This record gives sequence, structure tokens and C-alpha cells, in this order.
Amino acid sequence: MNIANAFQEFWNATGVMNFTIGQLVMILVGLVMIYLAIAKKYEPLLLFTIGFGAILANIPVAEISGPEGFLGIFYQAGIANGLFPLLIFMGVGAMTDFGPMIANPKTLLLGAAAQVGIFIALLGALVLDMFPFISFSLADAASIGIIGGADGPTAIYVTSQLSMRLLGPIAVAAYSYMSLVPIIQPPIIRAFTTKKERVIKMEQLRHVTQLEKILFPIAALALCIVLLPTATPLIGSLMFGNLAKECGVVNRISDTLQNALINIVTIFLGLAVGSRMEAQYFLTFETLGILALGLVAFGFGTMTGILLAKVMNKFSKEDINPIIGAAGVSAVPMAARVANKVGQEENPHNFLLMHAMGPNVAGVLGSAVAAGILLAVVPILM
Amino acid sequence: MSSIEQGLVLMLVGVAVVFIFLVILVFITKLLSYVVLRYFPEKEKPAPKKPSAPAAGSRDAEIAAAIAAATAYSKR
Repeated sequence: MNIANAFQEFWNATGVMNFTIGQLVMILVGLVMIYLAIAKKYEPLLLFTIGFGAILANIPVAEISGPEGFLGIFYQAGIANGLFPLLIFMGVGAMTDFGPMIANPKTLLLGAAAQVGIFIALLGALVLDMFPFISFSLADAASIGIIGGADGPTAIYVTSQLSMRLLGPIAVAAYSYMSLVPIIQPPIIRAFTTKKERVIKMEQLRHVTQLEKILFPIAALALCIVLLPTATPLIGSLMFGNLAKECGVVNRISDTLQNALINIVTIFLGLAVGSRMEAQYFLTFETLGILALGLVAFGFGTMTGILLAKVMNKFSKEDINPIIGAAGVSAVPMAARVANKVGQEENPHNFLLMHAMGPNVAGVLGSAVAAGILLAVVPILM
Repeated sequence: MSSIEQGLVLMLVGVAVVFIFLVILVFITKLLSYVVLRYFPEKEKPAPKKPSAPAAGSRDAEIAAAIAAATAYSKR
């Protein structure tokens, strides 16, 4: 082998010689996600890590997201088996205060209503299946629908169990729309409520005792064990974290769950999700369909939440501002903040934040329950 | 059964079960609160006199009480 040959071999192994157009496009997509994270602060923790993962995954020759590459190892270790989303859920549980929901249990129903979006998007995916270039099985459709749960970990968990191949686009759609909640929801809220409804003031929530907060996670988990064991990985992790926080005697565990652990897992999860954004899997018509359906799911979830809140306002003794129904989609705490903001635009003295936190955390439970149903029923129907 | 029909079945079952689950949870939560508040009410805490916030805390509390009293008065 002479020097000229050696240079030739090296040249053939450079990035320049091995890039495909698709990889360049995906690296550009990764850069856009990083831009949105840094400049616009859209869900920065996730868009930043996923975006960087997408860049690394599309480097030619290096095979970073292959089975031997480090992103591929992250993926096998925690996404393929559904571990990382459950660890995140423990942290979410340790950060969640069910107090507002215990003070006003009716708001649990709003968390249920907003899950209708999941099933509308599921139907939508099956309709899209009839178009050329797009093929969605029932399991694919279920995974796409769960984007409407507006809960990243739940979406990743369900997708990892039902339809692995769509994990990249589904996770990206879920987190992108969660970051876009402040843009997507207000017009829908205004379209389905009148000014008179939006200025409704709600009574202040009562104080919730510590014992109630300790017993609630146990009671909710018990119900889940009895009715829907397939949802217990999600609800169990959530309630583990929540009880660790509320009981007050294992503060070290609670502190680790809501800070160190969730941060570490977010790094691994974000990079590993990014590694599923390889050009050959991501640049398809199906991805476009998934992005469109995710928006449909969010929109319908917001709408059904508001509509049920309007009905409840008609029949309930105390006033319920229909805006808080929109927070039922979960996307904690963003959706509750949006509800508060829209309410204050109409009446600057109206503080809906705590009232919206009820449906908001109920939405987390609702989407976990919906996930459990899909995991229980879809494999049987297939 | 076509896939759309399966989707419709899934939708009906899904929405129904989510509602049933959360409706039951509403009743459980209400029952739980009722029992706790009735039989295990929180003991009146011996006014938060933690060593961490001595003077400032109690003064804040006094101010808060004054504001609350004033608001209640003005609402009459």
C-alpha cells in the first residue's frame, strides 16, 4: 500500500464522501430543535437533548446509534424495554401535588374528558392508513393516539411496548406539541367559551391534610391494581414518587427522584430518542401523518375537556370556569399556566392556577389509564 | 372486522373505561377525605414556631392576619 492509496482510503472514510441527503436534512432538523430550545426556550431540557441526539445519530460511518454505538446502548438499556419513562414518572410523581385535586375531586372528570383526543387521533391514524405511502397498524395507531395524552413518558412507554419503529416521530411530536401548548390551546379555549364563562371566579380551595395526601396515592394505586393492572407500571411509579414526597420521612429519596435521578434519566432518554431519528426511518410520509395527528389529538383533547367543564358548570352547585377543562390534557404544569393566563386576560384578578392544577394532574392519571387500556386491549385485537 | 371498526370499538371501550376509572376514583377520594376529616382531623399545630424563622415569621403571620381581617371587614 503506497501513500496515495492510504490517502484514498482515508478520503473514502470521511464524512464528506459518506453523507446522504437524508442525513444532512436530519442534522438540520436537529439543529432547528437545538435552536428552538436555546433561543425560544421550548421544552429546552428535551428538545436540546433530542436535537443533539438526532445530530449524532445521523453522522455517517460512526454508527453512533447502531447496536454498538453509545446512543444505541442507551436505547437498548432504557427505551426498548420501557425503563427510562418509568424512572421519569417516579420523578414526576415526586414533583406532583395532588392537593388541588383532592380538594376538588370533580376535576378528575376533566382529566378523563381530555383523553378523548387520544382515541380521535387513533381513529384518524386508521383513516390515514387507507392512503398510499402510509401504513399504520392498530398498534401504530394506538401509539400515535397516545400523543394526545400530552405526556412524553407515557407516549414513549406505550410506543416502546406496541410499535417500536415509530418511536422517533412519536416522541418528537409529543414533546414538540407539549412545548407548543401556549400557542395551540388559547385559540381553542376562546373558540369554545364565552366571555361570560371565562370571567367566572372559583371559590378558594380548602386545605388538604397530610394524611389525605398520604392515603391518596395508595388508594389510587389500589384501584389501578384491581381494575387495570396493565397501567400499574406507570401509575405505580408515579405513586411511588408521590408517596415518597408526601410521607415526609424519606426526603432523601424524594429529593433524588425529583432532581438528580430525573435529570440523569432525561439526558439518557433525550439522547436515545434522538438516536431514533435516523434519516431512513424518520423522513417518511408516516412522520408527516404522525405530526398532523398529534395536533388533532391535542386540539380535540383541549376541546372535550372544555366542553365537559361547561356541562359541569351548568349542573354543579359551585361555579366552574370552563377554561380549567383545557388543563385536563396534562402537559403539567404548562397547560395549567395557560389556563391561568387566559383567565387573567379576561379578568386580571382571577387566579385559576390552583383550580387548573386539579384537572392537570388528573390528566396525568387519565393518560396513564388510557395507556393501560391500550396496552391491555390492542395486543388482543391484533 | 375492518381496522376502522376495531378503532371505533377501541375508542368506545377506551373512553368508557377511562371515565369509569376516574369516576370511581372521585368517589374513593371523597370517601377518603370524609373519613380523614371526620375521624382523623389534623391536630391544631402549636403555631409554627420553628427555630429557623423566629421573629420574622411571626411578624409576617401578624401582617397576614391583619390583611385577612381588613379584607374580611371591607367585604362586608
